[in-house]
Amino acid sequence: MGVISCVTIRSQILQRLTTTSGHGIEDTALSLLALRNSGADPRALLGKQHRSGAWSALPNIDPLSAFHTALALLAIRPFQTTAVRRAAGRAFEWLSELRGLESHWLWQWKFRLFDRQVRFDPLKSGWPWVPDTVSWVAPTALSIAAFRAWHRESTRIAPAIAMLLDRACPKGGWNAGNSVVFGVDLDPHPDFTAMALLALRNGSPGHEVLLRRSLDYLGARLEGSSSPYSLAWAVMALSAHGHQGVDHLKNRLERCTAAKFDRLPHRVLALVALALEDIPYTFEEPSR
Amino acid sequence: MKRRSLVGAAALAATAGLGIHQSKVSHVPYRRPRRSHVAVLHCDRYERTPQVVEHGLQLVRPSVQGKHVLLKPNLVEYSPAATINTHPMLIAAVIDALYKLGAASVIVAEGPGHIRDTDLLLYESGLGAQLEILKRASFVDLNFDSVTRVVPGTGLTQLKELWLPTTVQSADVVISMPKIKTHHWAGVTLSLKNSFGILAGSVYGWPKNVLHWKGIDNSIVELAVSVPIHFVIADGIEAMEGNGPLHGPMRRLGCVVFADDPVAADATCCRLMGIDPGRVRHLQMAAPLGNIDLANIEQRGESVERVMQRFDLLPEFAYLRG
Repeated sequence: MGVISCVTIRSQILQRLTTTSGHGIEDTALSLLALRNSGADPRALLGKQHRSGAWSALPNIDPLSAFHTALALLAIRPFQTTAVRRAAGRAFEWLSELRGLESHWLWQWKFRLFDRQVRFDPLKSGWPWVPDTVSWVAPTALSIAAFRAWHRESTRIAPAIAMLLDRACPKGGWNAGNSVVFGVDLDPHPDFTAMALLALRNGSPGHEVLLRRSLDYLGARLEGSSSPYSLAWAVMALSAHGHQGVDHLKNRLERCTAAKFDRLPHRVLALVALALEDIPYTFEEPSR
Repeated sequence: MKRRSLVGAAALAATAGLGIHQSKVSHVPYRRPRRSHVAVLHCDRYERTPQVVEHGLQLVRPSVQGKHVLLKPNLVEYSPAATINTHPMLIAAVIDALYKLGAASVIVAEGPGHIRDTDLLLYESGLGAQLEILKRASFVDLNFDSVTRVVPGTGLTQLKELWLPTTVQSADVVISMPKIKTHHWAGVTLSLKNSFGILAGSVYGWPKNVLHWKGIDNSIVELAVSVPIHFVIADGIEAMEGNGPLHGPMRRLGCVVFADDPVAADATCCRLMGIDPGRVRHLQMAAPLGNIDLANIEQRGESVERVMQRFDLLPEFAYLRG
């Protein structure tokens, strides 16, 4: 596929998403969001919600997933039907009950007294990927974004934001969830950094330097990248923070997507479509 | 405050005791072969891997004719400063050699434990380019593969079910291709620990934290039972010591290890690192699955003593020394 314009590649993606379907909840949720102004119907995603209120990575499997539940909440947000609001209510109930194991006093003692090779503050807690594990950056960031997009107040948001700030890598950006292990600074990863930056977009007083460093890291890290997945997340995060590097990455994202179009899964194509909107999508919806 | 500390410590001790009890009542099926075959071949640089792999496969003789073979390398994350991943040139040499031996198909499959963007990792690690050149083996990202339910058989992890990638389960032959490294939680990461990458990140997250919380050693053995490894080709040309699996310094061990038994392979790799395999907990637990005892391992190629180096270990793992 040769060089094609942003509009063309985006319309080709939407065409693909309309006529074919992926197999996971991430495919379905991101496709729904990408097609939200093109007649998409949330019922397929609602039909895959677990009776607990959560979603898992694939329909009808355990374990239930905070990441996919948050993503589904973000995806159904633009469709304000009664069924959507009911599904969202159950999903938020499930998310509100789910905590990282480190929030339990027993494990807090373990981490404070014995298990000290990983540097983090167990008092600052967010969301785990799946139940019975500790908090990690991606599910925490998306859960914060979901609460915010739905304008839901929760006592869980402040400690989750504190957790993200605590887990930032020493030089900026975010790894999967740890910053220093066995005395070694971990390197940030672009996608987790972008997700954290989206969750922290409303400003974190006292942490401006961290945010600036993380945004600069993101722009520089992907300057020569050919991966549409990371580029798309980065475009959305830089755009949310009004960073100057967004146009450069957006151009790069178009070219890389055109070159790999036939090989990209739905979840990546949908993410690219969201990032290539005139104003890149940032998971925030106006208040209703 | 002191009372709370005591209560906390007592609760943790009780939890640890429960874990040990659980390990003892678990059931690891007996699958140990009467004899295992391991070949250690000298190889000082990756450019020589085609000849070394061909020779190694002659010595270990994997049965791959007409079969669908899955290669499971260790592809974790990329850093220009560290030798983390199974080298792409070794993987390419193995693909070529397997087709020469009559394999019906060869795929490379991995679910990186820390990275969601496998596309980026394939590019940066050089594996993507190597596979493009070869055009004979596709790559499957196990993190996003379709999954099938498996009921764990050992009781070690207390997981009621495991969701394992269909691609792995439909392969006729699974060849684990670990990088020989120390590991700051498990002591070593070799063919058995390499199976953590089989679990789908989309189901369990990044990292696959549930395996850590169910006990790393327990999970390693559970996976070894659920997903049998048929052969091992371990990259010891440039290995890693100290704070592995990501941040240790490179140790030029200069060999490739071939084996038809993952337990024997890992035991041999431990000996090559100056580690007593009998002190590695997950190897002790996996003993019913393969041979640790030298008397039951038919050693080919170089002798272990000739290649062996004394790897640096974190103080926490000093007890592993042979």
